[in-house]
Amino acid sequence: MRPLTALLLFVSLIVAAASFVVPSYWLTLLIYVGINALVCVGLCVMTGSAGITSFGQAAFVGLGAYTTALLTTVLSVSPWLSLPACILVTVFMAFAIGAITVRLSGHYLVLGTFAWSIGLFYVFANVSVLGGYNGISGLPSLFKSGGVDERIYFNILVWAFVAASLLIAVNILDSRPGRAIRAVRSPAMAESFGIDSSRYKLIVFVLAAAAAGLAGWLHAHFLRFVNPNPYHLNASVEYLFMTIIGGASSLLGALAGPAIVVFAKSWLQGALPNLIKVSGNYEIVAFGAIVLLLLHFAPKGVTAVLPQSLRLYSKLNARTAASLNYATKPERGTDVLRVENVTKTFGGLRAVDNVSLRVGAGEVVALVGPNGAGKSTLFDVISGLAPVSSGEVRLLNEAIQGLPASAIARRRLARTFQHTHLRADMTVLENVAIGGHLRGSAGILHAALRLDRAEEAALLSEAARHLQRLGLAQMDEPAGTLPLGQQRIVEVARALMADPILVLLDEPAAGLRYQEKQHLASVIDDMRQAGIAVLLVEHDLDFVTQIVDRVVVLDFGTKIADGTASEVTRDQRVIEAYLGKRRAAA
Amino acid sequence: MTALLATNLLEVRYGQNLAVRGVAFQVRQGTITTVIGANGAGKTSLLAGLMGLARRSGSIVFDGHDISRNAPEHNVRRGMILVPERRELFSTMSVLDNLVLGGVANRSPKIPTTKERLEDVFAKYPRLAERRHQLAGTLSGGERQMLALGRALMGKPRLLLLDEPSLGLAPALVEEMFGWIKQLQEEGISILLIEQNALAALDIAHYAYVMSQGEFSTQGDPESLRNRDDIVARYLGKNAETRGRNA
Amino acid sequence: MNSTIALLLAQDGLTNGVIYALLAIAILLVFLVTRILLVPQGEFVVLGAITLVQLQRGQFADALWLLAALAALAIAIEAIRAWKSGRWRDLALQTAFCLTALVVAVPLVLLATGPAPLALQIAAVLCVVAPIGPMVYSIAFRDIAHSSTLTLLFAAVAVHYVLQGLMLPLFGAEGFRLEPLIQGRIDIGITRLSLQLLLVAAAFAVLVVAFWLFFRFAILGKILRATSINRIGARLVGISPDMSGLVAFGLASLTGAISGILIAPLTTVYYDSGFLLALKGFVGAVVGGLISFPVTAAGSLIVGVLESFFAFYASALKESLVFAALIPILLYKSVTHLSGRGTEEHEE
Repeated sequence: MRPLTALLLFVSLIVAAASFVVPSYWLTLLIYVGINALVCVGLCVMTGSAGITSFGQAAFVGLGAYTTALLTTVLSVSPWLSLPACILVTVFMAFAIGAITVRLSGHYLVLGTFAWSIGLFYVFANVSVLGGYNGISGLPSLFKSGGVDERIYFNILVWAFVAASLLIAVNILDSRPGRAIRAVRSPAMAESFGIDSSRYKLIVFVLAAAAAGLAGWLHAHFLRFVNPNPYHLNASVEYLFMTIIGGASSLLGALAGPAIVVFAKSWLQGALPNLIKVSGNYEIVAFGAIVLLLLHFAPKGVTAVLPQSLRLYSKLNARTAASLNYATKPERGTDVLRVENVTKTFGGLRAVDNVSLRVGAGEVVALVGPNGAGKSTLFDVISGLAPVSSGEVRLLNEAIQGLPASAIARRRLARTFQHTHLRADMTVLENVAIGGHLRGSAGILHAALRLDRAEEAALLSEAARHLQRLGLAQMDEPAGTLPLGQQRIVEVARALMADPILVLLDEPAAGLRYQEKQHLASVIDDMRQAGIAVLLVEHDLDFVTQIVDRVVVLDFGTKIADGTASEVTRDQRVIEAYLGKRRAAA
Repeated sequence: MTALLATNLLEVRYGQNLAVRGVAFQVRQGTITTVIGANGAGKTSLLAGLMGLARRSGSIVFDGHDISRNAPEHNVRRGMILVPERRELFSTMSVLDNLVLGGVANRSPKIPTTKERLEDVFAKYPRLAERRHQLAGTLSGGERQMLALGRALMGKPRLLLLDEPSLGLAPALVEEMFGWIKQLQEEGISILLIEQNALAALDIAHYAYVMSQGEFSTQGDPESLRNRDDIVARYLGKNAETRGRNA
Repeated sequence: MNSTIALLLAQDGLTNGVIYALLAIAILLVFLVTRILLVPQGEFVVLGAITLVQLQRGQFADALWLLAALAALAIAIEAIRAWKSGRWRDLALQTAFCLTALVVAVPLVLLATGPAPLALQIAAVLCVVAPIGPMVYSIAFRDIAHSSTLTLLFAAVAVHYVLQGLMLPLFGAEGFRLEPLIQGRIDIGITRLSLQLLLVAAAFAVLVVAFWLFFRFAILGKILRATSINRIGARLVGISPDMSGLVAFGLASLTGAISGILIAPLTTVYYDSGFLLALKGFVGAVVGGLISFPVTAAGSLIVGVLESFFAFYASALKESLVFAALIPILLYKSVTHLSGRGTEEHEE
């Protein structure tokens, strides 16, 4: 078991066990920490991993609370039976709300969460069957004993749930869907490897809502009454602030944040009235001030600096003989890529002007030209990240222009990016494994229940093999710590993980030293031997001439030369394009 | 001639990446100094570092003052102005507004008024005068370059940092652009010129540095650099012929 | 629902809508220049409203305490910055600004308390509330101005809580309300227009024209526009992004103060009324795509009218309905925003 999981479970166990020894006032605080932690686990995964910031979790807590309130008071259902109902209701609403919300982008998404959060609050407060601002009281307790002992059992129950949710979160994040979830924050890259961002965002949204609904059920049966106040937008903000204080990038933050806030608030409520004679809601002011200070000096929260051993990442444990399936490659000599009269205009500018080229299986073609010649634009057009203005792109004779990047990825095109699109917070191995997303099939449920281990091992070993072949040993380092040149190599490994028939390499050698370039050259040669079609953009013409079969030269978006390396470098127009013409006599 | 700008051990970083690896160079007062090199050599990072747009370390001295911790706005007020690769014009504002904003930071009794500076810019670039009420985003590529240059001049710079001024320009306009640059130098503005178009840059420069992989591989008198085979080789690979270069 | 009622509802809605429009415009301006979603804008409005009421009632304008506290804090933080950077010019400017603000605000407030010309009281309110904007920027946002939009939003929410939290002990929990500044209605044929609406509309029109002139012709206005169009370009011509932020926040608090003055006769204002006002302002700004001022204003007017009709039909749920109406707008904006993007990255 990884150290992080052990630590999370250990903490939960300690807190549960402590129920028997701590004073009862503390028990109440610990229960609140646990209930908040449930919401924060969901927020951690949503915000920290998938980049969805929700100002609406309190509304889901309220949904769970009101559902059980209605079922247990009006319909006299047993609270234990109302639990699945709460989860169902919350999940159902989350699907409906989430389907819209996750399609919103950036600040629209955030404002969207504000919207339904307030909307639901006013529903809670104004629908008569829900009791208005007074709410519903007289909920049954969960345990028959009642009295002080009940809080002990309650605390144990809460922390059992916390432990379970932490375990599920860890399992999900350390898996194929987990990597997909974290890739969602680089949408162009995610799409290029076949990851359906909207779907994963929705799943994460629903899971976080379910955790919040569970928290609502617990909250309702702890207080034994519900009213709208704890489910106001302010409460949602509080959950978010807890997550910020704890740090959204680690699940430990989901425990640390609520703990800090709950205990600090309690202390402040006790201490402040003595310090400041005027009555008022000073914890709120202190809370806001602390968050402001945090945003200035420690924006990633208290768990920002964790030792490597406590970080959550996919580790390759055992070298396995099992490997993923490789699909067949087209025969040598077949045209894999045909670009036919492609033009791409941006506003008035023709970035790519009537360009045609072809790359065959097992052929390496370089696309060169001065800065601004249109090379990266052409890559974006071929890989589906930008639409053509006119012309056709054919992959194995199938027209692919206009298809979304994920559909093209499914047809086994893989690419690297000029400005590296790696997830800096994920390890090198994990980044490479993203490339193999389409070769795996483990879903969220499999991952949560740890049923995906065999496929994971095969995925990760193959990723490791590609990295070794490319000469990169530091697989467990966060990708952001690598020098730029090596990050490019990681992108090459990631592209190979897709088992592609066509690879687009965008300046793979930029920033590499001589030895590294030689190594890269031999890997590209391997690709040629394996029958992969390779199209690469490069500036280092020495490097290019060593490894390519043909060179295509672009200038101002037009093709000005297409031939072998030596033909092209002797071409007068090419020389002029690069070096410029001499000025006429001044 | 004194050095208007001098750096030592200048390093420029983007994230973890060291784009400029500790360089030392000078721009002498009243001259055109050029840094040429292939794409990705670090030339743009060099200018970004000088100006304060990227993280840097090392010493940067401008006109006797240490500017190594200055924000870009401060450098502009000191008289060092950058015309970046992407021009960064205010595309939904008029040509006139763009120019006026260029002069906003440097206003003092000692230098010409905004009106006078505008007249000067319009005299140099009549096409801007014709289009003064047009929105900057609707100008052609060459006109945008012109506007970017004019806007920089409105700040009355003592040192102009030019990042690939010929980028995206048709060959005839490139001629014109280098002519303007030469003219500016003749009026007393010192110039640090970054260029991929090596030959044109070497034609007008008084001193040249060749940059590669974040370092200077060669430097010296432009005339001597122009005829060296290894410069061509650096651009085109060892197999290139040098035949086409001689006038 | 007959036409009389409909027209009355519409008038009410428009009156509120104009206030929302003022809020929305201020929010949009600050967002364009600084990328900050100004959640505390509602607090500026509340400060303006309550201060006017206190002056009219002859009570001491408690907002002065807030101004003084913020001024002291701003100077202190600036001093720390100066000590760390060795640059003392900014400290001198900040001190001059804060002291001037206090020196002007205090006597004006004392003069304007109790029976005094309305114009004097309005001037006092503006002089108390307007400087608070730049001070808030300087204290809470300046040092993190380069952060992501999300971090800035969290900071804005935190500032909102601090300000709102401080306003409770300052003003207490009771409501503040004024008699309408102008009484009566005039007959225009199809309906009777309340003079209050006309006043509010007139104030709005004057402000809009003033803003338009400012951004079109004043150099400071052009500087703000330039910063909102291209931050890097602005820095490269020597415009300090801090300066733009300070001016934008100043305009926001000034507009907030004016909104407060207009809203005080219309409704009872509590120390915590600001949040909901700000959120409705956000709705308007979102309708404008967070880009267009005219559409923002129009959208806010529609929000006001919709709210008015929702309140008539389903008073309790009117807030829910207003915010629910936001969702399809957000969806529409997201879709149209995305379709033009190409390979533009949305990295976080």
